[in-house]
Amino acid sequence: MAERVAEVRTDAALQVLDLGLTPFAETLARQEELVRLRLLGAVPDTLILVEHPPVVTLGRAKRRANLMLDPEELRRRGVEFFEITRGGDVTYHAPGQLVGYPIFDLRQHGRDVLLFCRGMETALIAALSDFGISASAIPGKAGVWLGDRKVASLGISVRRWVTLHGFALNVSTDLSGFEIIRPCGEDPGVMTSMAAILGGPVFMPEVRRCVARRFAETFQIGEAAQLPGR
Amino acid sequence: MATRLDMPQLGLTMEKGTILQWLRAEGETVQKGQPVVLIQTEKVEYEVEAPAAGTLLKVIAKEGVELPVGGLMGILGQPGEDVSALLARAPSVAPSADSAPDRGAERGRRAPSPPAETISASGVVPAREPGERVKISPVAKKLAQEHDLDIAALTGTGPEGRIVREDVERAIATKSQEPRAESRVDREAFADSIPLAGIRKVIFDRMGQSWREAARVTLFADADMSELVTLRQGKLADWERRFGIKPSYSDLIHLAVARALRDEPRINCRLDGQAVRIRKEVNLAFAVDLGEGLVAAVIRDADKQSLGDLARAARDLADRARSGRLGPDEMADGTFTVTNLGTVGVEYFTPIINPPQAGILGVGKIMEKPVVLHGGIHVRSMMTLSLVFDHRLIDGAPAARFLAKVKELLEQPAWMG
Repeated sequence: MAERVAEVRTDAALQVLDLGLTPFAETLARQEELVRLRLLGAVPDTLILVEHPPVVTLGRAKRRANLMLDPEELRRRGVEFFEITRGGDVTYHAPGQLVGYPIFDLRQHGRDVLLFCRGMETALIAALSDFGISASAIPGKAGVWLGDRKVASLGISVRRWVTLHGFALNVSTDLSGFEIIRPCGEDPGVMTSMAAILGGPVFMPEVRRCVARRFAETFQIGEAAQLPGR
Repeated sequence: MATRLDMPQLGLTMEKGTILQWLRAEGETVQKGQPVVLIQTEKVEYEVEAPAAGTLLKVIAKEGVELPVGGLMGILGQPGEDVSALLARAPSVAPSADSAPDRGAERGRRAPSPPAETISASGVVPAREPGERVKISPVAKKLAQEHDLDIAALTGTGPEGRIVREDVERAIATKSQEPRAESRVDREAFADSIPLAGIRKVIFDRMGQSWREAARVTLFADADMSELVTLRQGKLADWERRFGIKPSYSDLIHLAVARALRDEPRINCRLDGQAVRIRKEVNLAFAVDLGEGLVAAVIRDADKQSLGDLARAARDLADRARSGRLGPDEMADGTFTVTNLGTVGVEYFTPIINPPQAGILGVGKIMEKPVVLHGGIHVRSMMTLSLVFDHRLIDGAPAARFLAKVKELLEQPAWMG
C-alpha cells in the first residue's frame, strides 16, 4: 500500500487519500507510514479523509475524568478505545463524522504550528460556507463553532515539522454518541453537526470534495486527483 | 559542550507550552534529532528533538509544568559536565518553584554548595540565617552595590561560603532575565507589561538581528506625485467600478515598486548562506500594524498582478492580519518590503530591513510643497521615499537605479491607467 503512495510524486500538490470507512487503528498505521514518507520527501502533502466505526481516543493530556465510561464498558457497547499521542483531550469518532488527517510538512507552510491550526479552521469554515453554514473560530478555543455549539474539533501532533492527526467534522454524526465522553472537557451537549444545523440530510461525498478543495486553497497547494484509498 | 533544551517557539503567537512527557530519563543518552520531550501548546502536541547528541543531564521542568517560550526545560551534555553557566541563564525559576524554597534554604546553611544547585534558590530565599555575617570579597561587594543587589540574599561559592565575583555576576544575569513586572515598584510605575514572548519576541529578535548585522545605507528621493494625484482622482470611479475597490496610494506604490523590482532584479535578493540569491519571484511584503505588534503580509508574484488584484490582495491580507487569521504562507517568503507611514502623517523615516530580505522602502506623506520647476515656483504634491538597503548584499549604484525607477514610475504614471 505504502509503495503505491510513494509512486505519486506531485510536489506542491495536495494528495487526497479517501479511506472511506476504515477502523481507527488501521488509519493510524497509515498515518505513521505517510509521516515517515513525508519526512523523506517521498510523498507530497497529504490529506487523509476517513470515517471511523465508533471509537474513543484519549490524547496525551489524558484527562480520564472526561471519559464517562471505562474502556471495558466502551468495548461492551461496541466502541473501540485508544490512548494516542496527539494534542488535545478525549474525542469520539463515529460514522457520519468526516475525519481529516493532514500529513503536511510545515517547513513549507511557514513553520508555525498554531497558524497551521488556524489554517485548518479557515479551510473548514470555508467548506461549511459551501453548504450555506456560516461558522467561525473562537480565539483560545480550537475548533469550528456556530455560536456556542461546536461542529468540528481539532488536535494535531507534530514530528520534525510534519503533522499528523487533525480534525473531526460532524456531518451527520449521531450526536448522542458524544454522551459517553466530555469532549475536551466540554458538556457533550455542546456538539452539533451539519445535518442538525441544516435540518436535513447532508451528502458526505460532497462534504469530502469541498473540504479537500478548501484545504488545497487555504494552504495554497494545487489539488492532485483524489486517490482511491485502497 | 552542554546544551539547553528550551521551550521552542513553534509559531509566531505561541507564548507558552506544557511539558507532556519526557521521552528520556535523566542520565539516558540521546542521538541528535531523536525526540527527547513531548510538549503541548493549545491543541498541538510536538516532539522536541535533541539539538545535539549527548546525555540528558538534568530535567528542569517536570511533566505537567507550563513554561514560557525560551524557558529552560532541561540540559543535554556529557556526564560530569559543569552546567552552572547554562542554569544561570535560565530565564525563569518557575519550573522547580514547588520544591525549591525548602531545598534552597537547607543548602544555604550548608555552604559552600555546588553552583549548579544553588540557582533555583537565587533571589528567592535568603541564603543564610538572619543576622549571620555575610562573607564577600571586595570586588564582589562593589559589583553587587553597583547593580543594587542585596548581598544578604546571595549564595557564596567561595571558601566557607564567601561570595565571590562569579556569584554576583550570576545573580546579575538572573536578575536581568527575571520578568520585571513582578516587583512592586513596577506594578506602580507602569500601566502595562508586555512580556517578550510570542509576536513581541519575534519582532524583538528579528529587528535586533537586522540592526546588528546589516550594513545599512539609506537613499532618499522626493517623488513629485502631482500627476499621480490627478490620475487617481480622474480614474477612481472607473477603477472602483472595474475592481470593486478603490485603490489607495499604497496600492499604486505597490504597483510601481513591483514593476521596479522586475526591472532592477538585483534589489530582489537575499542572503542565503554564502551566496546572495537573486529571486525570480517578486513577493512584495507590506507592514500591517496590529495595534500591539506588526506583521509583514506578502503579496506573491506582485509584479504579475494588475492594480485591481494588488488592491484586493492588500485589503484582504490586511483585514485578516488584523483579525489574526493570516494563513501561514501569507507572511512567509517576502522578497522586498514596503512600509507606508505617510498615511499617519510621517514625512520620512528609515525603516529596518526585515531579514533575510536585503531592502525596504519607507514611504512618507504626500504634501503640497513649493518646488522650483523651469525657473518658476510651483505648488506640487511631493512625497519622500527612503530606500534602506543592506550594502553587504547590494551596491550603491543598483540601489540608486532602483529608487530612481520607482520615482520615475510614480512621477509619470500614465502606464498605470
